Amino acid sequence: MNALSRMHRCMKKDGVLLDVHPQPENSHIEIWQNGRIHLLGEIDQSEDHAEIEAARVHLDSFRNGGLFVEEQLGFFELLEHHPTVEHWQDNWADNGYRLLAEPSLLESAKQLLKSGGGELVVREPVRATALQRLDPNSNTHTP
Amino acid sequence: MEVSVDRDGFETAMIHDLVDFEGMRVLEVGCGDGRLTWRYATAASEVVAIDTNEKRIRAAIEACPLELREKVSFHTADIDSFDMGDDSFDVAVLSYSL
Repeated sequence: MNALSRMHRCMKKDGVLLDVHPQPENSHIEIWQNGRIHLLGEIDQSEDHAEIEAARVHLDSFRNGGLFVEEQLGFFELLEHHPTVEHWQDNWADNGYRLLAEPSLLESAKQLLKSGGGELVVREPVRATALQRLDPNSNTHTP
Repeated sequence: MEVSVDRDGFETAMIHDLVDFEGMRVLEVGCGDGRLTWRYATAASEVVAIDTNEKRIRAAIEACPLELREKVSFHTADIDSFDMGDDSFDVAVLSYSL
């Protein structure tokens, strides 16, 4: 029995599944400094994109298979604030995330922070979906 | 210094827009260090949170606010091996883990 099947089984009738995961897009890096936002560019997260797309296909199969129905969909940006580039690198390493950024982007970030203070911000696009659990043995769904 | 995530509350606002957690029994899969858990646990009646990363689960247990310790439990487990029971949760959260 796969993960989504197990989740369906452990949920009550009319339960809600909330799925939150990143969009298959690269995050953007900014320096926030003295009321200004410096846009430095993107980091390379393309390794994760294929996995995210595959996970979505899997989730879609459960929608199409009558176990869940999509109720609401939302998009937002998750902002992560770091005081220094090194703090960002250490934090991601501790969490097992690969940080693939152009050396020039990292250097620009370091120079900006060194010269004017502020913070480094990672802006990650995220999708959140709320799905209603369905009873596959029932022909009705109450919205 | 701790990393600051979702300082402006966009994620928090979104999940509460999509789901009413009030009084709900919640299962969270991929809870990590509890970062998303704190966003809704106050409203929930009970939270069972699992993650395969033992280090992050230990961090979640240590960071859990006192007022939530009676109703939030963290477990190092994966979804295939954890006994979730049948028909037991009002809300299931897949937290950056699908």
